[in-house]
Amino acid sequence: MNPKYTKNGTRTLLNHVQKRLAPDMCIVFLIPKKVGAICAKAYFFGVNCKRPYIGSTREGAFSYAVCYYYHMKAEDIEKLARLARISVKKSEQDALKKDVAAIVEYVSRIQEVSSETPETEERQHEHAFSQNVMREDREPHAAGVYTESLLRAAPRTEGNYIKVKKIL
Amino acid sequence: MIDLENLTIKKAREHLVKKDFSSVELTEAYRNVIEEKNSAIHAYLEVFDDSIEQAKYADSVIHTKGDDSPLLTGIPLAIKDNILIEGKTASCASKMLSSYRASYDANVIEKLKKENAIFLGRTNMDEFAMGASNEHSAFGGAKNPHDIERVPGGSSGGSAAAVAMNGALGALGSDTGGSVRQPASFCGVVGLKPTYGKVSRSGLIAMASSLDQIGTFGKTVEDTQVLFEAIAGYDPMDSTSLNTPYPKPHTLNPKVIGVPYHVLKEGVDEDVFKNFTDSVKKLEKAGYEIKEIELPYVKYSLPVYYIIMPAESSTNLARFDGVRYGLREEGGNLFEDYAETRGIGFGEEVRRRILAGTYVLSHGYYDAYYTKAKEVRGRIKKELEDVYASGIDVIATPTSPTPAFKIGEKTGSPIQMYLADIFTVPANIAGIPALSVPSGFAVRDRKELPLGIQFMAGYGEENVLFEVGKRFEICN
Repeated sequence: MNPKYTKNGTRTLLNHVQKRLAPDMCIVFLIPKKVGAICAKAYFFGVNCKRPYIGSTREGAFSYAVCYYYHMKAEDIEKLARLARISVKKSEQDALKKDVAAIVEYVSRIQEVSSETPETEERQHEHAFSQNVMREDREPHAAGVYTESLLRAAPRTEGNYIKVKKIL
Repeated sequence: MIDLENLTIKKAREHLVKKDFSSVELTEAYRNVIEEKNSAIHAYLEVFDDSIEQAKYADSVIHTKGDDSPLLTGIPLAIKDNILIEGKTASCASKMLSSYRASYDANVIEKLKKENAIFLGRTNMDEFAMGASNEHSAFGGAKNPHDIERVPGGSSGGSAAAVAMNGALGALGSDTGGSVRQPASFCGVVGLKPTYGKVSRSGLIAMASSLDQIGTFGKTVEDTQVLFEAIAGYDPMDSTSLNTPYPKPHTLNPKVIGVPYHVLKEGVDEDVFKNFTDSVKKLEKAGYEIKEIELPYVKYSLPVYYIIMPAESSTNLARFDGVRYGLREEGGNLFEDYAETRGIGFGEEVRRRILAGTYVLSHGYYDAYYTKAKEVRGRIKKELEDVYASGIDVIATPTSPTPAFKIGEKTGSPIQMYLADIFTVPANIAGIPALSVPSGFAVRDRKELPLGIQFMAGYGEENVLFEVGKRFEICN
């Protein structure tokens, strides 16, 4: 960020941007309002930014442009694969890295939608649409009636148990 | 010889009751077609060997009850490979579940069994319903019966192809982002995605639980309606099943069709656009008022979908770890057992989506992606609700931006493949019902490829869709 532009209204702007974007996934450029969106667009295309999103803060003298920037590394894919418990061959890593980064970049355009309308409205809507339903905690089925059919689906069993490698 | 080409569920029912032919004869006729065509089209992954037995029973019911027998008695159907039929394999077209046999019946199967419907077999699909072309089936994708060099669409491509090749009278599929409607459009049949919660998901192998809904395929709107009415209803085994009366249809005599022309400006094939505008003109001639509508948030449906769907899939598919179901690959320890099983059991697209889902749910990114996507989802729902509240009865769009594409054409770029669902995803995001009806053809390589028009109605208003769909069938 150019320090020249961060004196006035900086905090408002940073809060605004931080609320909307995860760290390290974008470059944010500040633009004094008077420069105007058109100039800003031209400028950012000039720095080879694929889809800059031009927004502005409510208060303060700045507009900002967000350029999504992804640099997924091999370690990132390894980490995701570990979290998801999926073995990934070294030979597949590059293709996966490219594809997952492309998906993430594509879906990032939802950041363009401003969060400034009250959230409660959306929440209420969510609730009207789906609600959690619980079974009454009584009258359980007789013990063992489903054991056999469910165990039949398991790849390794021993007696009435599912067999796995030792956990501790 | 039974004329399968022109047969519908309704006509078959009349013939069965009048004893023009028996369910055994009808089922045999379909089995013959499958035997003849399936090796080229690969719509079915398995043809059940007990279908004749099922038909014999159906015939005995018709013999004793005649016209009082349930409507689907003796009607041969195809079932997508992610819907459980007790004792049968349900593989989701995945190596992970290739040996899995269902421990119980899905709610929809229970209902169809009570109707004495015939299950001909299980149909091909994209692995775990992830795809728009069937090319992600671990067992080789189905082909489009109109041109076998092209895809039948996905993920329920096998079910659509089965009906289109006269290999079943109707079929069940599942629709998470267009997986019933888009293949219906590509194969020239009718496909319905019901309101979220109208059909129980119990026994449907879950992909993205807040979006999944079982849908129906038929050759006519009426056939999809008959199937839908047979499988719809409250089920306590599905916690999102609709029990409270949903807002009643605000109209049973729909008059106003909204068209969001602004979403058709980019990326829509020329022939598709022309066919769509011609279809809209036909509807106008048939007496509907056509209004242009603006849906400013709807363009975010696809990015929202590709956050919520992978997020939910990555959690749902965590259950496939080699412990309780299906494949188990051995590693050096328990963690490696999990990772090897899942690395080998899941195909490329499934792994891709699980990793993308893991990413958007991981620490530091959750709010920017998942929470944000939920919020935008709320706005899309609200926007559509407002449109229906403003007096629009039905929204019309093309079902898919292109006719069926060539096999291999889009496998290089996941995003290009995802764009095939651009018009179908909003209905899943908002939970509203939508119907794809054949609307004509586009000629490619001297072959006629079917196109479809999609109608979307407000919550719980399937009846409005059926009404408009039937009128469209007549005026088309």
